[in-house]
Amino acid sequence: MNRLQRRWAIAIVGSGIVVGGFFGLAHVRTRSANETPRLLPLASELEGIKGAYLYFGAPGADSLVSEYRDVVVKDRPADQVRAIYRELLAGPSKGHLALFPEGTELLEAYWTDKGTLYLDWSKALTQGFRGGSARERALIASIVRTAGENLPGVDRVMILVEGEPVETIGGHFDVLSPLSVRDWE
Amino acid sequence: MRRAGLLLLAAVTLAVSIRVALAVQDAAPIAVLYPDPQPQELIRPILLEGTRYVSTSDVARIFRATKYWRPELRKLSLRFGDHTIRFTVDAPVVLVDDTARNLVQSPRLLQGQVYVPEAVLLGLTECGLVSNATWDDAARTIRFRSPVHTVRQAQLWVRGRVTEVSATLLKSFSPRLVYATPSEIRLLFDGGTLDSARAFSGGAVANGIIQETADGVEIRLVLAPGAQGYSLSVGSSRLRLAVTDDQELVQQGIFSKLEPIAIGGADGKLRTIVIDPGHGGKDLGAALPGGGAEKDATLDFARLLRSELQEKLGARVVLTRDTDQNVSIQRRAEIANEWGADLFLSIHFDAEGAIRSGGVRVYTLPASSGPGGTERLPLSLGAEGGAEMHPWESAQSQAAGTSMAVGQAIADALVKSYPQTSITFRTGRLGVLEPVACAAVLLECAPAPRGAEAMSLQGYTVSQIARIVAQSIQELARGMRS
Repeated sequence: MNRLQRRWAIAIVGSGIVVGGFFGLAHVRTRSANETPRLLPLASELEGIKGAYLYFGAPGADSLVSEYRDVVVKDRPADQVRAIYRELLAGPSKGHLALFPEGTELLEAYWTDKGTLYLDWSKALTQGFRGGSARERALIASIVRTAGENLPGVDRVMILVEGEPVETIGGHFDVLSPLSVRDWE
Repeated sequence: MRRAGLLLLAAVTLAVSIRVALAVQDAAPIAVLYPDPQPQELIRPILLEGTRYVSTSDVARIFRATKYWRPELRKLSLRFGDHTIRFTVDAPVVLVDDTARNLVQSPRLLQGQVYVPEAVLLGLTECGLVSNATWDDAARTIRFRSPVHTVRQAQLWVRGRVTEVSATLLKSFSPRLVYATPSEIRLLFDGGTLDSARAFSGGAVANGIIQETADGVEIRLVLAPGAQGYSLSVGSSRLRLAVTDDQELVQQGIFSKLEPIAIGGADGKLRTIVIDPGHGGKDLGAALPGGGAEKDATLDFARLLRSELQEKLGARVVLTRDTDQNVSIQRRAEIANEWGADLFLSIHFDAEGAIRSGGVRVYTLPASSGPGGTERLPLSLGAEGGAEMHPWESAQSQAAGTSMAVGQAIADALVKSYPQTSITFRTGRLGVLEPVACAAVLLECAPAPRGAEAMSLQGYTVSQIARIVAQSIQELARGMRS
């Protein structure tokens, strides 16, 4: 066997190992997957990804449109709420209308076992709002419907600004008491 | 040796072609059919090792499930109402609620997206996780069922001098008679749903419509001149609303008399009207085209309307603010109640949404109004028919039907004058109207359209709008006296 023949032999054996390993590993992987039907319990305090419907304004109309988006959330309900509303505050991605006044932040979120979600917003929500009844209606509906759609068990939403109830956001609609999800569908 | 080389080349080529064949390919799309009017859509599964897989994002979106993905555990949950299905990537087992079930193929993770075998779609319906849709395996179609409606098959019958609207009710359902005047009847099924909207006319009904609104199912009958009485009966599964122009049927007590709406005193005279120019002071309201502020436009309009109403009705007209000052919503309602107003008109301006090119929105509280869906009973003072005290925040609920009649009359008058302009009548939980004890309407006008828009939309001026609003109130007052 000359040097060239030896090189060819090494190449053939090497290739055989690569190809064999390729299929062999795939087979082993499938088998190992098939042999582990046991499921582990969900861990807590870990991040996950949640598909969420977010509501934004429809340009030139008095209605809302929804966008489906993956949102990174944590296990605690309050963290989930914050993550979903952070995404809503980030605005639309498909030419729809952003409804929140510039600089609005969600400060806190509380969730009672009676189905009322308390959302505590920064002052910019009321101080920065410049719009008519259609925009205000759309903004409230966006907040309430986003909760109703993505947070099972929430049927009323209470809007607070810096920890206090407010009578209105833009001078038209009453938000002093909890808003029923059904009324804003 | 060269032969061995060729063999190796063939082996490698074969391996590569097998891997390519096993790689991800697009599979034929799945049609998703929704009930009218929502258009159908297509979702695109993938073909992987001969099996069709669908994305869990598509499954969650289509069936409105809550998806939750744990990348570090490679676990994905889909929550359908009270039920949950849990997948683990590369494990051929799923947990449906707390029961383990086998999968023929395992869920796969591709480019950060979890895919499940298409057969899962059948499992979702068979396990009862999805009840409003079916999976047709042969046609590869997801078909959503039409929702079961509470009000169905509305029809109009004309029998001699009686015109009847009937509908089938799914359950025992009490409608609310919002108002019944000689010109119009309005009925509302709170929270009801309707199979399909219908418009009809005939006999004593000049123009009738049954439609689903934000508040439920609404029947609105605009009556032909001469209508005298109505009768409403609701059985366990049938609604009958009849109208007649035969006065004898009313006198015999078979039909109830259609009464004009009452917004004034006992003599039908409008004595005090309170006009509320929205916003003011630091509260600028909406930014209007041309740089104007809503607070200034509302005050100008309120002054115009005050002149028109004083001239046409001779009524006392009070403004909640006559200067550029901020008045709280509660105080605005207080002013109306302190003056014992017969009518309250709140004025707003906007130039967005449906009225961006001109138009008017007319709002009242819904007939079923009660803050947050709660209704509190009035408190009676004294057993001898003394005064009734109504909860402040729901004072308007006593007059909500009358308010809707007034709001509709104003909207109709505006539509008649400007048929091409966006004029809508709707209900909403408006803070300024809730504590007002008399008929109360909120008008939101768009500034007068300019240029080409004004030409194409039969442009109006704000003073013309004020005149038409005043005229429609004058006509209501005349109707009350007659």
